[in-house]
Amino acid sequence: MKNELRTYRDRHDLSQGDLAAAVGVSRQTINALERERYDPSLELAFKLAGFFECSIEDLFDPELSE
Amino acid sequence: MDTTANSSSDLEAARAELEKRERYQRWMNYSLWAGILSLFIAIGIWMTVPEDIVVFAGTGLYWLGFLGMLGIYFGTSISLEDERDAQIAAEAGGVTLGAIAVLFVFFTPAAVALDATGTYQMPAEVWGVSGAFFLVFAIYSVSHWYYSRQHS
Repeated sequence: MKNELRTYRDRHDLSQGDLAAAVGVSRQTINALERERYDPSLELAFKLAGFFECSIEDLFDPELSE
Repeated sequence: MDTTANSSSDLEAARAELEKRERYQRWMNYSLWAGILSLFIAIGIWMTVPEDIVVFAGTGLYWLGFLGMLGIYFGTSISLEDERDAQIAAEAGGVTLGAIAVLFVFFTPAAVALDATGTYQMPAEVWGVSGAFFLVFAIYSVSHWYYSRQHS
């Protein structure tokens, strides 16, 4: 799934490890998300959106129209 | 971890917990590999000193290593795997079960047919393998039924 995770993480000046620690997953999971190799659960998507204080749609684009 | 860290102090605590999780994962791996290595070393020693106690001791150490791994996994209050780890395990398990299903579906009836008609006398090991395949599916069926009930 396309996402803006890297952009938001850079904007907050966080490492992948910091973001991983903040939302309770491994650094590898954040890396896989940023490379669009893994789609998060609804719970993780909410955590990430909550952390960056944005909506889930700001972070993730499911490309449902395609 | 069930909450999201927002403040810098929260982030410090979250980092500490992530480090703890990685440390426990390393200990689990060390424990398991120490057990496996012990078994191989015991077998190696047994080849030069053929005393039964050597192999039994190696097996005991292997069990200890495995139990140590389980002890860390179940003994800690923090979750040692995240959702991606769980998905990887589920997908790998699905592929493994699929491979066994293909073998079971095609191989076992053919083995029965060949053996029954006398075309080819199947070695006894074939029935052992088929029995193991059957057991895997029996366990899967019971697990599937149980978790279906849990999620209904």
